[in-house]
Amino acid sequence: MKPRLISDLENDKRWGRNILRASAFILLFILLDLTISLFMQTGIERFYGLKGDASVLMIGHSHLMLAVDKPQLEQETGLKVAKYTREGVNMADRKIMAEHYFSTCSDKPKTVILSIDPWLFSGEGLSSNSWLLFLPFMNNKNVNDYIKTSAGSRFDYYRYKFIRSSRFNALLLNASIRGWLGRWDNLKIGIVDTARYSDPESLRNFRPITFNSGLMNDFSSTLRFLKKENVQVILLNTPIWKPLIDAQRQEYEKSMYLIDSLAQKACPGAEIVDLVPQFSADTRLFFDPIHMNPEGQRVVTEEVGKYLIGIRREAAGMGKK
Amino acid sequence: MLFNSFEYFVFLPLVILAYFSIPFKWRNPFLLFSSYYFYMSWKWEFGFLMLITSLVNYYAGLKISSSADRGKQRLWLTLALIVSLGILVYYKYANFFIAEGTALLHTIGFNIRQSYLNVILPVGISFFTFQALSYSIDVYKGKLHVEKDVVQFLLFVSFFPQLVAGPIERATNLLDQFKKEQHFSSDRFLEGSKLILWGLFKKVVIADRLASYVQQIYASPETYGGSTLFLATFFFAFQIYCDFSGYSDIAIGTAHILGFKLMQNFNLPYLATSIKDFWHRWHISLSTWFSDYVYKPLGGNRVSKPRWIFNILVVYLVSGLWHGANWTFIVWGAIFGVLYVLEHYGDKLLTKIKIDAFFYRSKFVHVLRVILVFTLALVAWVFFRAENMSDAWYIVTNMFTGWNKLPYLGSSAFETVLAFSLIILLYIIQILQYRGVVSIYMGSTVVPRYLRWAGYAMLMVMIAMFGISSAQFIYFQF
Repeated sequence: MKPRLISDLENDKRWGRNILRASAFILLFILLDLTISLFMQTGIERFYGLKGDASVLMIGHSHLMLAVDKPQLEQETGLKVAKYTREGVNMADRKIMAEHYFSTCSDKPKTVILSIDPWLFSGEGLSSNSWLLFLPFMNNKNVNDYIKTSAGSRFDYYRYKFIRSSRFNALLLNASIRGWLGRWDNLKIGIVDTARYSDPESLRNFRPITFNSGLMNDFSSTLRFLKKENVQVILLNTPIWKPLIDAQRQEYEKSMYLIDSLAQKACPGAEIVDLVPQFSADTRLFFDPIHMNPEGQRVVTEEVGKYLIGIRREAAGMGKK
Repeated sequence: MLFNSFEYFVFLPLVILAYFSIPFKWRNPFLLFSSYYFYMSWKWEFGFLMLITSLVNYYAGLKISSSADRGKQRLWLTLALIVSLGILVYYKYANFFIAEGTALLHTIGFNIRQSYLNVILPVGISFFTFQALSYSIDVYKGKLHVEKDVVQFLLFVSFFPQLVAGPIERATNLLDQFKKEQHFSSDRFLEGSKLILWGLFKKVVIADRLASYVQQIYASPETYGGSTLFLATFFFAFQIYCDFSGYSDIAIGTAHILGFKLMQNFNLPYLATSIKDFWHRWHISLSTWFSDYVYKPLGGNRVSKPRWIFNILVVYLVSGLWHGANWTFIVWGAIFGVLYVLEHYGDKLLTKIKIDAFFYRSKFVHVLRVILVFTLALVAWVFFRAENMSDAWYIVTNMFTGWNKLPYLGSSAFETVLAFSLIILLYIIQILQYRGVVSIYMGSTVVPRYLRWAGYAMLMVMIAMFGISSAQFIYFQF
């Protein structure tokens, strides 16, 4: 005896036509999926300067993203800059970013500016989903391995693998649109709300500085990787609002000391550029306690530009004698 | 098992395949088994509560129909009401009454230690309780023949597409559909799938995107200015609409594939031109339930004016309480009740001074009325969403002031702008629906097929890109 479903289908006069329609729909979806993901991917690569030939590469998270302006830096130094910065990426993510950039670029950069901050070894406070930002680069082996271990389930992993548009999200759409438009502007307009942080307790709880040995290892291995790539490494500590540092002064000092000593061991030539003493007391430069506003970005970029020109001159034997 | 989970999209095709493959006599037991599996995947103990409520109403129905004595019939109906509502009250309202009772005793000088019951609210308990009760009441009123087949009755209460968040179906509509053999139809499959896709889009792309902003602002409203509070409330209005109507669409689409017709639960509520109109378009299955089983038995509008006002207020207060054990829900219901009454007398006044014709026919006034109703609904939504009365009061008294500062745009301004753009997209689609250009609920449309299919493909891409998965539906808690 035939199963009911089979006889239902035999009696369904529109079955064949609907199958054709559904197949056409699936094809249309695949086509849209490929087209949109290609558009998004290209924009993102432009935004981060991937597959390029920049001579300066910046790697970091939102601190660096909002503290240094790529077009201004390029204009002031005359150097081509790639700004590979993403929101919420921890030290492990930054390591993947460095490896990813070097595996895709057409020409190796000569200088790498790696963002550091007192929370470099704090596991908490950054996005636990930052790995999602790597999804567009699943075709890269390092990134693919990272996603395989980070994805919640096998289902999620294969969904990202086969439905390309699922690799993107609102943040990546933003990056892609900016990449296509060639805009890197800092839109965090405004000044830190001092009244909101007037209570010292709220500053202490803003984001406690802790020390995770795994992240320390990631930091060391990132530096070792960069040393192997034979690039000049600059560890840039972007400004942090002074009251926030004062609230955890001891931990801050300890963190900076650890960064210095680990850097000396893993990559002896690495230089630390600490912009905290110079700018942290100027409240007008901050959007919030850890992020610069456009004015803050302008002055910090100027300072980084001067530093880059200085070391280039030194390297070319034109420095002060 | 959530409609927006991977498990559901494995469960559903398996159920469809098996349902249409097995002989008719096994289909209802199979659907019953699937429905209990679906429900017990949350917490298996909940299944027994639903079973008790169902069996009590089933038995009461049998007893009511077998007795000619009206007193005995009333006794059986009362028993069904006490047991069903007793379970609901115990799980949903006991702690609320304990807290309020203790507070009251404190006020009058009794010092009693407050201790709460350790109970978890079963998902969708208000929905299946009301659905089961509607059967007993209809049998008692003689509107419905008794259902002797226990499997069919249990299935009527537990039918998985609409079990946890409605539409609250009537036995007069759904029960008989289980008696008829359904045949698989590829047309129905495609239509149902489109509705599921649309519901999923509203839930995972719009509602869940708005949820994170709303959650952030409503968690500490006192730290934000008026424009931010307004934006959060505006977002919540669309969050709850997309969340709940999205669920209903998936429910209706799923049932449609299986061959069952569920009632429409939403009909463009934010295009309503009056409060009355709003309630004809919002959560239609609940509004009609209250109308049939609370409002009409109280006398409806065939009573004196003061009594009519009382009836209206009772219906809306009970409706508020149905949503949750909190004063905020009660006030939410009261606001709509008061607005309903005021609107009624306002309309009478317009007729009396003879400007009603202008008021109802002018397109400009029509748009103004839509905006006014939406704004009033926004005020009511504040109470629905706020954690407590003091937060709600703070938001209501501040959301229309302090607009000289731009609203806070959330941790990602782009996300917030995207959310706003999605609301505009939704509104455009709804206006096209309103004007009959597009049809979501299996109706005819003037949009060419290739454009529609491109639209569906785009919806799928947007779900893949912007979908935020696995967030619970808001109405599950009711």
